[in-house]
Amino acid sequence: MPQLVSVIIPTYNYGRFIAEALRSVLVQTHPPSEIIVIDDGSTDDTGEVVAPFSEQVKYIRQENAGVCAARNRGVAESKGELVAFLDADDIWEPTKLEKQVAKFAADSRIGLVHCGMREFDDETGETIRVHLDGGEEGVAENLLLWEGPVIVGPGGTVMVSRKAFDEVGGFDERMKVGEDWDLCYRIARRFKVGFVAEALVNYRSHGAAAHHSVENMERGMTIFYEKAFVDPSVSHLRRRAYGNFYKVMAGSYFHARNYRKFASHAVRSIWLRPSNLGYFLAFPLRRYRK
Amino acid sequence: MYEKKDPSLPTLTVVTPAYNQADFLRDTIESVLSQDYPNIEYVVLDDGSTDDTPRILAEYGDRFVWESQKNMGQTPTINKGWGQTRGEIITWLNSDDTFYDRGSVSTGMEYLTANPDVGIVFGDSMFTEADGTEIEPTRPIVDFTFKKMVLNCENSISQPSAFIRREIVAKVGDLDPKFYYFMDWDFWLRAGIYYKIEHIDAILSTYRLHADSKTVAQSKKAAPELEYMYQKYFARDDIPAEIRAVEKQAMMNMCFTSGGYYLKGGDTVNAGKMAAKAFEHYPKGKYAFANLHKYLYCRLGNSPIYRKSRELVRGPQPTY
Repeated sequence: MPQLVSVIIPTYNYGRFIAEALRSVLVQTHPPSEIIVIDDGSTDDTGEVVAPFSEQVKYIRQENAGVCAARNRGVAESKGELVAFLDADDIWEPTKLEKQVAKFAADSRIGLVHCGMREFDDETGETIRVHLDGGEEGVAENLLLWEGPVIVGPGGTVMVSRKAFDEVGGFDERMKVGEDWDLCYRIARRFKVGFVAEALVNYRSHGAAAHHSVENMERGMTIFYEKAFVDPSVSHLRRRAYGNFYKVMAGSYFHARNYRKFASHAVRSIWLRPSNLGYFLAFPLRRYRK
Repeated sequence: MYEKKDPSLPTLTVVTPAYNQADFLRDTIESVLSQDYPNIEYVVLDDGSTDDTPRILAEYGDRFVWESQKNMGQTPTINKGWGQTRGEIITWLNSDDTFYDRGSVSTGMEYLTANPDVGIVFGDSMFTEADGTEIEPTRPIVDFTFKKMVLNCENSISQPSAFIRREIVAKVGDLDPKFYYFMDWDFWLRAGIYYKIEHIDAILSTYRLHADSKTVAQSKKAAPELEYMYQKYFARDDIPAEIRAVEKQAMMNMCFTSGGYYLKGGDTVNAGKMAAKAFEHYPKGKYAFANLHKYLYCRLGNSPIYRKSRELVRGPQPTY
């Protein structure tokens, strides 16, 4: 049974949150074998905040290189057979590692285990949403198609086996958005996925949370698709995947009040997947109801 | 350190977390100080109020323990108050609630003394207007059982009327600061796993409905917290078998309750989603009329047709 878990915490200017994150790791019922903080060139007090934890935490500082590079560096510096990622502004429940390790132990073909997530308001502490709709079967296809249950909050809930991480080559450092979606897809293509249907991660919703423009998201996901469809065995899903992707993008552009891009993506979506027409026809009605 | 006035009786610790409710605070304090029960250890923690609260507390001098602290939120404040006190029985009284009459504490304490196997006892409450005018008592409770409370997803325990054995905190933990609306409800759920909870048929407190009342004003925002509370609860591995046996029905009812919250907050989209989720948890639920009614309510409750037909059947509904 794999027991050794390395916890990787990439951080950039989250000095005000990271102590709480670290405390939530230190009280785990299945204690990790090592905790590695990769400080991605923070300009705040992160170093001082982490200093009192120096006995339990390995602190590595690097020049700012982005979250993917920080996570890859963390994995390279670690030794555990299992690797769990934690964002410095999130908080784990005490049984998070224990329950995910148990999933790995139950089936040696599993390469990734994710779990439910509770989104809370940083100012008041109120619960905003509970995400429990994660998948185990067919996750890779769902990730490609934006259909059905996928990976819950990929950045903060996943634990991967070192074997799976190394085999797919870690995070793609070219990507700024969607890198977690991409890694999960590549692992889910080759390994089984496990899901703990319980909110074991508390996801902090705050103004400074990596807030990406829709354009950046589109760029990131386009890289993801370009890579995914190199594989001919999924080429039959291409139209459906892009059709759904443009549908989601159209919605995001509408939300961002970019109505020109909304229209062009809606047209592309319907062209690729005519059945999406219904979605767009009902669009004004849904907006009105909200 | 609190000294008992009557060493033969247990002490009740009452903690009042006070945050910017100076208008109501005096009523709360007076209702505690005027109790006829001898051993009451009273602590008021001013959670960084910016109104008259500190001045009012200063007026009382050393008649009870009080302290002004930097704002940390209601739940952590109550936990802190419990942590620095010693009473064998504990409770908290929010700064807009009061004990009902002089004998309220005695009623609860006598019950716990006479029934050593009971962990929490609670009575009813009286809703009042902001100015203290009585409206009506809380819904009558018939044959309270913990199982029924979990199953129906109703918080039937009126918090300011509840008296809690301190040992429960050691066993199941403090109030959980992750809860903003339902820290009491979550605590009852955990306590009920190991301790008996019983109801006394008496009004022991008042519950003030006013513009800032958390649960009244913000029902829509409470919905996701309810869902979180139930999923977290049933993920525990120490749930008694008779509760575990009704998990699916309980989750269904949670969806209906939370759908109702969304609806009251005007969010018809999420109310409908919760209604659909309800029958995913317990598909057989569809065959009971009461559940279908709840389902339709979540789906259509805000529509004029539904309201009109309900008015025809039941007469006009109160608006508070």
